[in-house]
Amino acid sequence: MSAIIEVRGVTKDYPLGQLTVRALHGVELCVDRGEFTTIAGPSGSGKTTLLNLIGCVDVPTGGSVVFDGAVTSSLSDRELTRLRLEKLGFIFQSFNLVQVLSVFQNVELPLLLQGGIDVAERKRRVESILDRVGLSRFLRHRPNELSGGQRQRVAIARALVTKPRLVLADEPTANLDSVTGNSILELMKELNQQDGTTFIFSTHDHRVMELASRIVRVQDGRVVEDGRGDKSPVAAAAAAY
Amino acid sequence: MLANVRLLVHLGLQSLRAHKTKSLIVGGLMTFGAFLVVVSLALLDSVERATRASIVQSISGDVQLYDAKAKDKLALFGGFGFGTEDLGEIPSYAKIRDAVTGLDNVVGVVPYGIANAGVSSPGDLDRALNALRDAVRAGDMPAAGPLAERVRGIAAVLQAQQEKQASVSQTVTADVKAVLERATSDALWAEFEASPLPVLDWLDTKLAPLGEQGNTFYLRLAGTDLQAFNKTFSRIKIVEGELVPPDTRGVLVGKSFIDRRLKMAVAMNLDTVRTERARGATIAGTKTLQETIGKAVRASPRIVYLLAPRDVAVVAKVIAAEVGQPESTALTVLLREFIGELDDANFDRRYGIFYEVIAPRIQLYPFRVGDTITMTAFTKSGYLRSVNVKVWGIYTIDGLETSDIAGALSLCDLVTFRELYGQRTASLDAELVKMKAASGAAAVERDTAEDALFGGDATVEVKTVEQAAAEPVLEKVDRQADFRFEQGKVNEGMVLSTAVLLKDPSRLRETITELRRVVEPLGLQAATWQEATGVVGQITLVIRGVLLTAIFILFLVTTVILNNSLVMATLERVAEFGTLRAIGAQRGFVNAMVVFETAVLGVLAGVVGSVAAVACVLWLGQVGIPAPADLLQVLFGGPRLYPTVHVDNVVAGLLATLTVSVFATLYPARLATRVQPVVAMQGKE
Ligand SMILES: Nc1ncnc2c1ncn2[C@@H]1O[C@H](COP(=O)(O)OP(=O)(O)OP(=O)(O)O)[C@@H](O)[C@H]1O
Ligand SMILES: [Mg+2]
Repeated sequence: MSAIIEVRGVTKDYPLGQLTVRALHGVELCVDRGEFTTIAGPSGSGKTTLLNLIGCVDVPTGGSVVFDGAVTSSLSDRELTRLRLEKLGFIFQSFNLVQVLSVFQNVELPLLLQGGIDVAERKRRVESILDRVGLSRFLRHRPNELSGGQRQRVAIARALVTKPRLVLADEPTANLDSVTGNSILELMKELNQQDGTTFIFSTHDHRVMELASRIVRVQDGRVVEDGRGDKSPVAAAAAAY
Repeated sequence: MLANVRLLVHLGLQSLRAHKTKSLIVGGLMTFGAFLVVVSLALLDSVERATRASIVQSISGDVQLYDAKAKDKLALFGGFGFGTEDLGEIPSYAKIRDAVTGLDNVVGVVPYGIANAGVSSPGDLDRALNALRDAVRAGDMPAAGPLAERVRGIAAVLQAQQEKQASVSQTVTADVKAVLERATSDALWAEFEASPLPVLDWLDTKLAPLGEQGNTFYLRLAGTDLQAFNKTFSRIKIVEGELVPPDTRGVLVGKSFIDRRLKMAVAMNLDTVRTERARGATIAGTKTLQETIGKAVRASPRIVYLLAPRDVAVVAKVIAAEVGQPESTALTVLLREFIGELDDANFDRRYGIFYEVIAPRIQLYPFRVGDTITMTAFTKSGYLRSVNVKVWGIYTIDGLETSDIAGALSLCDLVTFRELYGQRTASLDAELVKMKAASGAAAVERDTAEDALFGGDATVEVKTVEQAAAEPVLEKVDRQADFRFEQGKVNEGMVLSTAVLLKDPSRLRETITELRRVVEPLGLQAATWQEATGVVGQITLVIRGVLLTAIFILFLVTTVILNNSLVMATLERVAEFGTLRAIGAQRGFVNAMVVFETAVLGVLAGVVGSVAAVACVLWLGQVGIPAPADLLQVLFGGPRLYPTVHVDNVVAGLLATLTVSVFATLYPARLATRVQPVVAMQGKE
């Protein structure tokens, strides 16, 4: 299996007044196609920073991030944007739906941004993905008419409608109760297994980690453990907390 | 692409809906702006069209051609030079006329020469004495009788005035008292019956100086080819008399000018009251009207000596009945009451009586149609020069009867203008000599002409004599009031400017370029009617300037307000823009989103504002906007302006709002594009 993402000796500095804060210290990580990976770690450990670099919304200070064969720090803003549009899907902690658009329109948005897809095809794809996340009956609803779990399902549908290579989710369940959170994770897992879509999500919720096939543990900006699910993820997680 | 535009419009509309209050305020402001732009531009254009119709089609033409070497700018209705402007000269009008007439879009060509002339009109006593002397010299004693009565009547009025003055101050001398006593005595008039001439001499030397001074009024004369003028300017109407016949000396005066400046004071003041009342003012409630009536009362004694003696009784009878006094009461007393006690109830009736009973029996103006007046002007070379000219008629401008512009210029033939202008060239001298020969008219003896026509102003006569001595032949020609000359020859002579009327005024720019090409080699320049009519023509330009400035400021303010509110909105939407950027929207898309949103607002506001404006102007076009002052009638093309609205105005309104929305959105859009996709990851919605 070829790697979709390679993180090589990556450091990331944030300016903070006169000082700089080093959020990542020489991180090494390789994720293959089809993996269902979680990045775990306590608050402030650098999970979001790492996902930003992987998701091409930011570029590293040192080292390199290679996404699908392309070194992100050598790409322009335009090219990075194009890359995100075509090859990435995002699921945000606070859903980030466009409030003034309906469920259908929110999911259709990335297809419209891609362009060149006719109305019928768009309709077919949007309806099919919404059907899979169980929201066929809510096409005309506005985000504020939905529950948190339903909103996150819309977000998942929006992330997947373009058939991306990689879906990133930064704490997708943090704003949901545990039952809903679990069902969201189940859905993601299901989509991973059925379509082979690669997922990387961060969390510090160990029940969520149980579902991952691989857990990458981050602490103080360093990867401290990288374990495959088949090497007893549950036990590893339990050991960490 | 199309789907994206639809998405943008949809996003824009939805976002506007989501922020209703803000959208309503900003949209309302822009709607108001659009409304204001369309209405004011429509009104401005209408005013300009109306002004054009007032001035261009009655006096100025669309373009005025005049000497390129002119030191001053042409100002047909008078500028700041008060007649001293140096406009250069066009040596031969015919040459210009022939060069210009053939051009496409030219429908009329009319020559002009502007000169200011003073006209002295004798006082009432002088007038009566002159008439009496004429009758005596002619040996017409039956006519002399009533005229003698009139002189005696005026002397009686003067005596009454003098007695009144004496009671308040001691300035009246015994001499004056004695003269007035003698002039009103039976003894003197019995003497007059016996030997009139010595008595006349005494009256001339002693009584005449006590009479009111005659007054001098000034005419702004436009010398022109009156036939061509009449053919070209369709709005000119002769309301009394007739057009000066071809090849004849003569003048046409403006009706509103004589009504407002020269009319007998009682009549003029009563007219004012009537006009104001027609506009809704009341005598009881308007102080200025009461003052106007006061002026009429003070002028009323003049009626008595303007009346023929035999008419005094007729008038007295009617007035006495109206005011409820015995018929034997003195007419001055009756008139004082008749006018002094005017009120809102009796005004219309008494105004009617004045015009039916009194006006036909007195001379309301210093001259009548058919009279010959003596016009005096300072020539270019600094001499005073007098010309006797017959008043052939009174004209007005159709639709502008009550406007001052309708009488601003008096029209005369070109020969009269040239003489008053006083340019001396060999060719003009030759022309005049030829004219004299051609006319075959006998030279009128200067002194008698002067006597007959010129009651008072001795100084003018003296200077005229000096001038005459230097150029005897010309002077004699000048004295003739109604000689004929060859029109063809006249048009070959000098004029100051040439008016050109266009078929299609909207092609003014294009035609003026063509005109310039033709006349510049002939040493002339071309000015638009607005440039050439001085203050009058430029009023519209000034109003336009002021209004456009005001609109510009309004839009600047709107832009700033809109900009601020958009910046706030952008800051509120940072997370939304971040999300869009994260999921793959380019900076351009975010930029377009912000711009589109305001553009949608701008177009909506523009459309709503323009529709309201069009409705408003259409309504105004139905009811008309009354001119608030007579001066503004020129701008309004008559007593009311009926504005129209054109596509241009609406386009301008839409463009203005769209421009504002685009300008206001530049900075907020830039802010929005600078939002980084990472902010989407930073949590809170
Ligand atoms: N924009 C920023 N500017 C300055 N410092 C930052 C910035 N973003 C993150 N940091 C710092 O970098 C470090 C890693 O932060 P990061 O958000 O990646 O942690 P995290 O693991 O996602 O934490 P949490 O679980 O609270 O979301 C922290 O010390 C944080 O304070
Ligand atoms: Mg985080």
